[in-house]
Amino acid sequence: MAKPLLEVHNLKVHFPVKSSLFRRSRSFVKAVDDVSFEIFRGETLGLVGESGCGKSTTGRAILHLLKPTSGQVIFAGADLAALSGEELRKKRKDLQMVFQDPFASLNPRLTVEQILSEPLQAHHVGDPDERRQRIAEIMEVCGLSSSCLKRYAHEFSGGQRQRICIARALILKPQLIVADEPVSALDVSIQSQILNLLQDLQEEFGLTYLFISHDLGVVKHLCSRVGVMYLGRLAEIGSAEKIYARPLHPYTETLLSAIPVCDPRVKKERIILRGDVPSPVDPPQGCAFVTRCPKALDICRTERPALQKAAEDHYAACHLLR
Amino acid sequence: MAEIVLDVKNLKVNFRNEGKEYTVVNNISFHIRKGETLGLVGESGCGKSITSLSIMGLVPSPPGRIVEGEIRYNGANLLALKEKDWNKIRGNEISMIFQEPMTSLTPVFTIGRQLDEVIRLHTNLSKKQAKARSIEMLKRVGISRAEQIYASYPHELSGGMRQRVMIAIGLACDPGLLIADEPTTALDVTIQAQILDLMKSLKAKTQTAILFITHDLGVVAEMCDRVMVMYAGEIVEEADVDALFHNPKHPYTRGLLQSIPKIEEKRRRLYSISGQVPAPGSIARGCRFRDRCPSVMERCAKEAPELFSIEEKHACRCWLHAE
Repeated sequence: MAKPLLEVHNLKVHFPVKSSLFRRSRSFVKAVDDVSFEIFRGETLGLVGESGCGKSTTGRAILHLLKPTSGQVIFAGADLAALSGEELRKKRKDLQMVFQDPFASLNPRLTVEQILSEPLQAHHVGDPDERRQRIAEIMEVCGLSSSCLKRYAHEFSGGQRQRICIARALILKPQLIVADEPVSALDVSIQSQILNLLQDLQEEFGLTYLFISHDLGVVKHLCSRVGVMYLGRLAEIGSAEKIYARPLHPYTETLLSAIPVCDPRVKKERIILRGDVPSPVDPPQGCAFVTRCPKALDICRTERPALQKAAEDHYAACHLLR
Repeated sequence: MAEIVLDVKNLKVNFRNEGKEYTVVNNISFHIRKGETLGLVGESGCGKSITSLSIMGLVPSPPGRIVEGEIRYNGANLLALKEKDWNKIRGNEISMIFQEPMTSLTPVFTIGRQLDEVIRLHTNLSKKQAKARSIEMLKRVGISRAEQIYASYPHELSGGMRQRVMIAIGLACDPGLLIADEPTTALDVTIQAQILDLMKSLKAKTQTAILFITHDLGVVAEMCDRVMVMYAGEIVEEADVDALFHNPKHPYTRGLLQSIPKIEEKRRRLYSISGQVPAPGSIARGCRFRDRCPSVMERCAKEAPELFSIEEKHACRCWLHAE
């Protein structure tokens, strides 16, 4: 197999919890706790999980928008943590992000033209004429008419704003796009337009996506591989087909069974979990899922299961696999 | 057949903005029977929340105004009520669960106090009896440490727990009609499954009529007996849940159903409805969906279609189905 475009090794992001003004904090929110995965060129890796499981933090840590507490992010052979500020800034040309909320992630004081030319200016790409040319091209690709150029973000609908965000991410011709819930804020009919656009762009430019979402249907549609996160850890990762057909981790199984099916004739056998996700400040010892797992064993309470290979391109972190 | 609890006839709601009046809900009629769950689906801005606020008498006025129509609850016209009489209906006969469990509870009072308030307002129970009733309600919505939760503040609870509390408040006075406005949209899938499960079992016990507002067709398929699809302020299709999913008639409903990525099947490309929802007031004549419709005809631009009845209990606002 080819060399991966992005490798994440033992990524940890811990946030200190303030205990008092003068004391150093002793407890940490372990937002991302020892996560490793790789993404190959041209593929789409989906990262799913419930709110607070650390999927967005993982996305941000990959771009080094958040400094990882420990662990490595290797992009196209270069360790991002080892780069200087200036080098990292240059590298970011190849790594771009699309955020969830198209209402909050566009500057209301800038016109679309200014929004799209800002990344080009920041990276000293081309002269004004070339920039204008490039903006026109990218607008067309993203399905925005050129009459939008002089308008402000608030004049657009949610779907169009998300197109602007995607255009902004694409204008530097990046290799990897981290898309953090890009369609969650959109209505169904607009959501499908944006998903189709993401697919078309991937084909046209050979893009690689890390697609973060809580919607398992959307992830199934778009992604070739999927990682399932729970409480800062990867519960299962592998080919989308295998995971959806035969989930190995009890959490993945529950998640899949919980999705309402768009067909009143299907009566689904649903696994209903008891309780809520435990606090990431004080996660359970052993397996993170042990407090809600319907199949928990004694060993799950004491020993943290490692991610182990169950089949080709299918890994899960569960003691039941043994 | 069970009796009709709520009967809405030709409801029309206008909103005034910058000196112009826009029709946000246009001439909608429907009814809900005892024990029935009616789904109301549509995209943001289609008027589904304004419809529910009209039923609760909560349309902000100004800028909103109910221009015409009738809303009858057990036969009595709600629109003729005075504000004082509304208070006897709201929270007692008709209650509502909102989308955002974080913002619909007061952060400064305990859960118990908020529950007691509703109960004491609408019944003659003493303080002690109200507390007992509150705790019983909390237990009924599946909260195991009810006494402890009774004394907690909303910020101490998770989203799923808060939504359970909202349901407990909504059902505290055994309402005849419960309006659930996107009750699970802000929740995670596993928590959503818990809440839907709870609502189903409560519904089976109490026979409360439910108006279930959502944009999630999966949730509709699971919860509702009958469904109305709204588009740009109008009902475009109304049918039994089975007919709507297996025999959708309106091009908008068909488009919506095809746009959803499904777990069960893999398609290369999703169907998408082109364009976007028209702004209120931008369409003066004809069908409001025509700019996005794949089967648009000449007639659609000239005349607005009415809600044609196709079969018993199945109606569709489209010229394709006129006779």
